Formats: sequence, C-alpha cells, structure tokens
Amino acid sequence: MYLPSLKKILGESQFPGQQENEEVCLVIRQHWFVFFMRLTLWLLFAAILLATDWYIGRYAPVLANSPYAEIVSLIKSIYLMFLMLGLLMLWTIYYLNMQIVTNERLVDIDQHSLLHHKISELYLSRMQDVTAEVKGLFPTFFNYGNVYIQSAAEVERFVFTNIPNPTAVAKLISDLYEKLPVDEKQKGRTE
Amino acid sequence: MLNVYQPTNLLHTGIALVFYLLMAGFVVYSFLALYALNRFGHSKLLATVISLIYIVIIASLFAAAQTNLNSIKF
Repeated sequence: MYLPSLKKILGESQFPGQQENEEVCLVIRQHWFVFFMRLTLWLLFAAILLATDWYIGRYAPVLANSPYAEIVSLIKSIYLMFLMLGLLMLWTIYYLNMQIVTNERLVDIDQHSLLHHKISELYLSRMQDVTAEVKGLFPTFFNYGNVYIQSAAEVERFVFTNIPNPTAVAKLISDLYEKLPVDEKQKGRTE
Repeated sequence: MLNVYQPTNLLHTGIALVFYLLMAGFVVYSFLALYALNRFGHSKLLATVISLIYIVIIASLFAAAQTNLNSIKF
C-alpha cells in the first residue's frame, strides 16, 4: 500500500486510464506472505546446489577431480543463472499484480505470466455486494484473504486475491459506494 | 585479450552448442521478464535499478560459466 499523494509528487497518473479528477484511495498487492511462500520454494531449489556439493564430497569424490569437476562447475553455473532468472520472474509477477481502489471504480491488474497481462475494472455504481474471505491457517494468522465484489452486470465476481486485511478493504469499498450520489447508484443498477 | 572458446573435438563442439543454445533461451526469457517489468511496472526508477542489478549479476555468472566451459578438457 502507498499514499495517493504520490500522484501530486510525480504529477502523473498512477495507472493507465486514470481520469483527471479520479482520486486513488488504495493501491494493494498480494500479502507479503504469499511472496514469501513462493520464495521458500525457490530457496529449496537453491538448496539443491549446496546439497550437490555435500553429496559429491561424501558419495562421489571422483566428480571433484578433473575432468568431471569442470563439467560439474559448468552445470552449477548454468543452474545458478536460471535460479536468478526464476527469482526475477517470481518478483516481477508479484510486483505487477496489483489492485487499485479509486473513488469511482475498482481496477484489477493481473499479470498471470510474463506474456499474459490483464486489466479489469468495475465502476462502484454497478457494484451490488462485497464479501471478504479469510480462509485457512496462514491467512488467519497473517490476516490476508480474498475480497469478492459482485457487480450488477457481470455474472462472474470481481476478485482481489490474497490481499492484506481484506475486511478493511471490503469496508472501504462499501464506504466509497455509500458516498456515491444517489442518482449515480440508481443509474448503475438500471444499466 | 578476448578469451574465445575454440572447440578441439566433436564432444567439445556439442557441449558448446548446447551451452550457447541454453544461453540463447535464457537471454530471451530474461528479456521478456525485464521488458514486462519496465513496460508495466508503476515505478520506472525501481524497474531500472532492478534491471541493472540483474544484468550485472547475470553478466558475472555468464563469465563464470564461460570460463568453466573453456576449462573443460578431455
């Protein structure tokens, strides 16, 4: 989460398609624990490198001598390069997934993979129902979960996945909806 | 002086070919990741810093890998 005053400092929009008088209320990404879980998996792959050294030293000392040692070093170097690439991809996908709540609409920016970028938006006036869900051991402990927003027109729900403090976010969205002018709410329901 | 790898037999040539094919794939994926980060990332400054750090690390690792490739003797 960061402050909306950033717009004033930078003098530019905070996301593509931002209107001039549109005020950003909240910018959120997935909870840090979600990234930490992926990082733990990455660390397991990194541990394979250390485990290889231990295994060679204990069970296959012949691989520590020339000419095999150079081949093993080459394989380890290449493996390390791909590990670094994996870390970059993990972080990039985590960083590019974000949700933005403005005083007019909700914007969900999804980066499913490096070549799969999706931006969905929902006007608050078309919103019908907001649900916060915290489910499971870690989400309960670290207070993260999903927020589902049902719109008037769409069959599918708008989902903010694994965001921190989903109850507060759901309340913020409800409050923003309540602040909308009555005619705008009615217009959204009839559309 | 540039240390150019010169294969001395068919096995060396095969290993070098596999190595450079892997590196080509690696470069393509790295480029995609850095492009996505710089194209869609909100903070261009952060994206640039991350990209530079990544390029420096990968250049070092590539140099190490190439040295390892050159030192393989049969």
